[in-house]
Amino acid sequence: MTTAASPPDGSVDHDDDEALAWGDADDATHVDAAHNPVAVRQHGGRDPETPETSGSLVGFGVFGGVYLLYTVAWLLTASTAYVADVDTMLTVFVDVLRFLAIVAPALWFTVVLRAGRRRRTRTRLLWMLLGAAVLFPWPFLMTRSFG
Amino acid sequence: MTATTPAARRGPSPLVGRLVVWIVFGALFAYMTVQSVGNLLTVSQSVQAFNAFLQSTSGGDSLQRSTPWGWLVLDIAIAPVAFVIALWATRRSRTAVTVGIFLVAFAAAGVLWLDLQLFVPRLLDF
Repeated sequence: MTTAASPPDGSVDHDDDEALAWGDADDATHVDAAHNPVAVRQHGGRDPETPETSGSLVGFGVFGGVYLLYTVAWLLTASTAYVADVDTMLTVFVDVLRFLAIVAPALWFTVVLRAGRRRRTRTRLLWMLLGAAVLFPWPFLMTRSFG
Repeated sequence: MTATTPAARRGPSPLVGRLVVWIVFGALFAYMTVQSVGNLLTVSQSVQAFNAFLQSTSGGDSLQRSTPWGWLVLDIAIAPVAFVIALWATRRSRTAVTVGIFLVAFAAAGVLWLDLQLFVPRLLDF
């Protein structure tokens, strides 16, 4: 009975060095490890070129809607008197904060999406959740009665 | 034709731009903290004066108020905590991203600060 293994064929050229090379970097099929989404994911981040999943888009959409409601609520409480009988500098300071409170939800949403585009979706959604807690328009609830 | 060195292409160090952002927003956060400290002193003195007045009257002890130290200390802590978080988040960021994150941190700290400016007087209600 003969074995399945065949002896080396002397007519075939076995170039070991060529077998270990990945090929030319200018080749269209060449994959650079530095831009490989798999390698990026293994380091805890995400490739910014990768399209968002539908789940993350829904999550960001929900937070976008919540933040939009926050903006409206802060806009409706823009005339709230926070301080009284104070100097001009503090009055200007409070007015600046009043304006920033209105644009804060949009700012938070934009910065999390732009500055965190290399972060994982879960990390960005957690930052969105933190923003929803921090930016909650308490003055809107405190200055209105819903009974 | 001269060769372009990597240093020439890179331009000025981004650390300079980030330092300017850190200093400007540091001053704004510091002003917010100073106002919070002033708020703590004003509220605690008002509560003391109110309680002293009630003690001078007959039967007014039940109306005495306690100083909301927890909320007042939280009011002071908001700005430094927001500054430190923003500083940590921008330790390796570009200048534009640093500006954006500090603006968001200042806006968020401002929102909480305004919340407390409205909430603390309602606790006292005198």
